[in-house]
Amino acid sequence: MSVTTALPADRGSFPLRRRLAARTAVGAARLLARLAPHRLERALTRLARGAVPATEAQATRARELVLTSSLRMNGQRSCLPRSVAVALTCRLGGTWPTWCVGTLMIPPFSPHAWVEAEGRLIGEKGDHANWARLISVAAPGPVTGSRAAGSTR
Amino acid sequence: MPDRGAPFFFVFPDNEAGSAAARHLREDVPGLSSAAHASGRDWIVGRWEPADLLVARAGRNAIALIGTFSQSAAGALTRRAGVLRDPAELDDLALTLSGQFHLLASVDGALRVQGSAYGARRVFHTRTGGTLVAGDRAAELARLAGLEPDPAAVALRLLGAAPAPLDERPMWSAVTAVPPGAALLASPDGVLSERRWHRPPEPVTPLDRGAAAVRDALLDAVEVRTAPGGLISSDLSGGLDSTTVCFLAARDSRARLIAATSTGDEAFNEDGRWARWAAEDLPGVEHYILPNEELPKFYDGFDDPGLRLDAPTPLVASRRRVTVLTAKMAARGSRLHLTGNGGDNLFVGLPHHLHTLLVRHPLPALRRLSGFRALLSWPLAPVARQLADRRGYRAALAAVSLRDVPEPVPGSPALGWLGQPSVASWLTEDCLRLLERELAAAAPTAVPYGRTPGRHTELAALRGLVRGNQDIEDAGRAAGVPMSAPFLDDRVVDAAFSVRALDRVDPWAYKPLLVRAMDGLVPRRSLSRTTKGEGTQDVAAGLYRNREALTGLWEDSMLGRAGLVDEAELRRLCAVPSSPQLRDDRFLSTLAAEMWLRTTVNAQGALA
Repeated sequence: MSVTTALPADRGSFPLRRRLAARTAVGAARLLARLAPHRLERALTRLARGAVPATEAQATRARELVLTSSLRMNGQRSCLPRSVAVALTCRLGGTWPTWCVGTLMIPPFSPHAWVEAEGRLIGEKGDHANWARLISVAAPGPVTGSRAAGSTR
Repeated sequence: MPDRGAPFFFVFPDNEAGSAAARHLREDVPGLSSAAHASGRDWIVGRWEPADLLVARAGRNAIALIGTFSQSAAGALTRRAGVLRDPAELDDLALTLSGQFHLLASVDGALRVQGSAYGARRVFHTRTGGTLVAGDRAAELARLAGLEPDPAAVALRLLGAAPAPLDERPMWSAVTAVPPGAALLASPDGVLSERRWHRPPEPVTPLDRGAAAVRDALLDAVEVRTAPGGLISSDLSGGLDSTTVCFLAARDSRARLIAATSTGDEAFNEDGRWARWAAEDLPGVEHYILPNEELPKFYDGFDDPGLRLDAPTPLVASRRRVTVLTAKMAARGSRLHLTGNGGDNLFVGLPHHLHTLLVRHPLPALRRLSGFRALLSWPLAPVARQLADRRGYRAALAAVSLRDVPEPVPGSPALGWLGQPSVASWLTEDCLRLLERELAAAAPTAVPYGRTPGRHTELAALRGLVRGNQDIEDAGRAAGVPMSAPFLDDRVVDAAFSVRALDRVDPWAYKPLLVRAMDGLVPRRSLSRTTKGEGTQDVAAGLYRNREALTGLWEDSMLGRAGLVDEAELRRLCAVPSSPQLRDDRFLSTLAAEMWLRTTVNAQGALA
């Protein structure tokens, strides 16, 4: 694995309004991250309702905004609140990435939380294929047929 | 065919007893090299490559260098020998020379035996046959004098990194270690003394001036190794340190360079990508990449016939991994393999310096503190408690407890004089009591390696790294090529440690001093990396693959027979290789101690 050894020195230049919105998302994410896993999954599923899937570019931009707005979100062990904050920041723009909790496929058990978009890891090191997803919350698909019937998950 | 066994030397005094001991040694071990006192008696006896010894003589005086140095030093050494009246006068000499070497002097019957300032070259001494013998290897001295290891020293090794000064204690009670930065002096009538010739510099130099000094010292350190020419090789791990060494070595057209990379599994590790980028910027340098399937797993070959080393080494778990590139480079005919070892210790600024910075520069220190807390996800309470702790070193050492130690939490803050030693669940009650006695005996007189927690911690960590590096160099040489670490030269360390802590400790920058020093010598792209490879996955896989042999080890172990470990507990844990207790240094240090004892103690000589 590769670990991050330094905080980003140049903070991106986002407008104040968007940084304040991201701060709100970060605050909410830190509260949500305290929930038990099944409650968090349920809460995020509800929040994802009505959003369209985020593109890779949108999710990447949201992640940068979160990292710029909160020093703490850069932490090597802040993956859970960070991934939730990125998802919530996307949601403020009407989109939703796939939020995931999982582990590396090979031992030791390495719990991690991250977001994906268009089938790719956003801002994570390592290969998409090597992570096993234990919980994931994707944007709801178009409401049709069987999916519509099961959408109260 | 040069002898690839680990080099070593003994120093004998210029008298009848010393001469007799040297003669016995040379009869017992044929083929040793030697250099004589002016009297004709044996002075230095051991094994080294001819180019690694330089003796300058003038009348009754002689000065010798053993190790890595520039041959052009000969003239200055001879002049110096001519005016020398007392070996104590040589304090300033070593720091005028580049490289890593021992400095020896024989002045009309008096001796000086000096290693390097930070421990890359060590000096030990003992007595045998009624005479002093000094040398660079504790294990060789113990063998010469027929000594058995000290059970208390073995027990201390089970703590992982024992707190200073116990971490420097030789494994034989009759062997004395001369501290790094001090020289052993012996007068003609046999009186011994230690003379401190070096102190680490005060960290007062600003970044710009410090970076220029680091740059000069590193250029010299690499040049002294490339100057003899020929084919050399270097690690190119993808990390900043070995990348630096590669770019500096590639500047010298006298030597041909192969850069060697072991990428590991690139699905998890970015090192390979960074190494290839660096190699793109090294035109004319061959880049060898080890196929990942040829990289041995951790613990593979842990029971290979051991090297005879001064102390247990965690290298037992990774020796094949660490030397796989060296062996490949030996097959290619490399005469010397360079590494970036030591770079982390010099350039990753330790947050321990915050202790002092908070008092002297509160605002920048608070900013750095919040950065470290964010980056490393440190909770506030323990950080504040540790920074508010203003006890001295002795009090901190006296407060170390080996009982009811909570399971270590990886990444939890440790900012004081010393971290909690690791106490494994398999240490016996006898072992714990023995350790408590040793700690209690050391605490009242213990002196930290530096005046502040920051300086002490960086020196303790550097000395630990340097001990491990010697083991790596021995393993590399056994695999076919001498290895060498330019970052560990005294002048390089001095230059790095003289820079203000504020300029070296920065959570927003990775190795800021090295990056500044290499600006213009190493491409910007390679200097911009802010991640670092890490091998947790490989350790877990290795434990799993070698679990049967690791479990079987504790059927009749030397540590078990000595009453230091609970073999049943070790068998139980090794059978479950996912046990978290096996993953940190608790198990590694136990395995290291066991394998070291098996190599060192002969069949009858069990620990009493």
